[in-house]
Amino acid sequence: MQAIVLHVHAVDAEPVLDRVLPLVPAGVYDRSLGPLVELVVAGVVDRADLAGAAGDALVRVSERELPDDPAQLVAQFVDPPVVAGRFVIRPPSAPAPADPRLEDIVIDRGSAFGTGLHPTTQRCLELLLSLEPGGSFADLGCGTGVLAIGAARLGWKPVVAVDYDERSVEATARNAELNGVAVEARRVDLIEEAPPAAQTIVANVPARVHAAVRAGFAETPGR
Amino acid sequence: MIVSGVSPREADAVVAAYGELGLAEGGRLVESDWAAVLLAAPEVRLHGGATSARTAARPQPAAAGPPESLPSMLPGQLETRLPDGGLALSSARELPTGARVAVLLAQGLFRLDLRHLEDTLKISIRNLAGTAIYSLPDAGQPATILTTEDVAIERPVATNARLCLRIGSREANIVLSALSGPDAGRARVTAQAIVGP
Repeated sequence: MQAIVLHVHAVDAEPVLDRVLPLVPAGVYDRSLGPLVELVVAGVVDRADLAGAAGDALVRVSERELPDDPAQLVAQFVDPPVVAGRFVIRPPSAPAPADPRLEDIVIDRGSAFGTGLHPTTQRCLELLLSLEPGGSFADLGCGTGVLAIGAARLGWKPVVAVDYDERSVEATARNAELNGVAVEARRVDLIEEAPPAAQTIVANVPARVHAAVRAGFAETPGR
Repeated sequence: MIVSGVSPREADAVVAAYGELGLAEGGRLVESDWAAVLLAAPEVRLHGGATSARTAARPQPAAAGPPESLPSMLPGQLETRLPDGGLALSSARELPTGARVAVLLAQGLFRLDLRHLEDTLKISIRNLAGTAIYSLPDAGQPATILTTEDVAIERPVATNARLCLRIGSREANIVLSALSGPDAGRARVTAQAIVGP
């Protein structure tokens, strides 16, 4: 799809958006380019109207073809998150980080939950860094397997990842292979079934699932 | 053990329940009304850094908008003046992945922007009031929320969020509902706001 691209000074970006956003029901893609901000407007919008709305803040205006694939759009406009200065979580379409000190986690989301953008995923990874890696590890409610893959990268072994949704299990297995780590992914309904035993466990699940997990542990002393 | 997927308030109860199994809290991180808590047996040695309780910086109210004349309504937005002098606003939008979309505009007060990023819906309140806007504590934080906890099942993902803002002496209650097919790359959202007189 064809898009109009406005380059404005970073300091002017929000005031420009105040005038541009009401004109564009399909929204604006924005990206920082240091001192400038790029505002990309897709859909049927008059170029002169946009340039007029930007006013004196406009540095230049151009046109560009945008990809139709949502994954490519995200890759163009959303920087992969760096978590706790240690992990980069990126889609396969994004380039690998240049810094060798960063653990590079590649996630092909498919239809499962977990791009690494959500705060719970990021904070769980951050807390993992507080623990001494080693021994067995279980990821309860694994989604796309971000946390299981992160744990395997840090040195936990063996790693098991469970989810009640079959597509999440498949996504985790696929992503473990993509990242070259060993993760056993399997389907477990934590409401109905006992959680797998492990020395270290991460459970990024709703409160009602925590209640079931806790009950499962209580019924099996020694877990 | 690390537990997450819960709000800070829920986390207290979850931590207490696991505490009955001999696990004690070793650290807590809070961001955007979500908590992640590290639980460990007393003999487990923890590294420094993230083990102390810490709350991620909450978004500050955005700077007030420019004084110049701005559009008073969004295309397709419905606006009704209420008998008490308040306003009722309503809007429905389709959110392309990654784009920032203006969903509600209360002239001279605030604009509600949404950005749909795969499994996350980011909510921004743009301050157009020239005075601070506060998110009232019982209504959650207008920041990042999960579109669903059930993204992986065979139906559209959904979220319902409520925000309560205080803008000077006025109050705005916002209700937001979003639906997103897991593979569709787009979310549909409806938003309503009642702005007090």
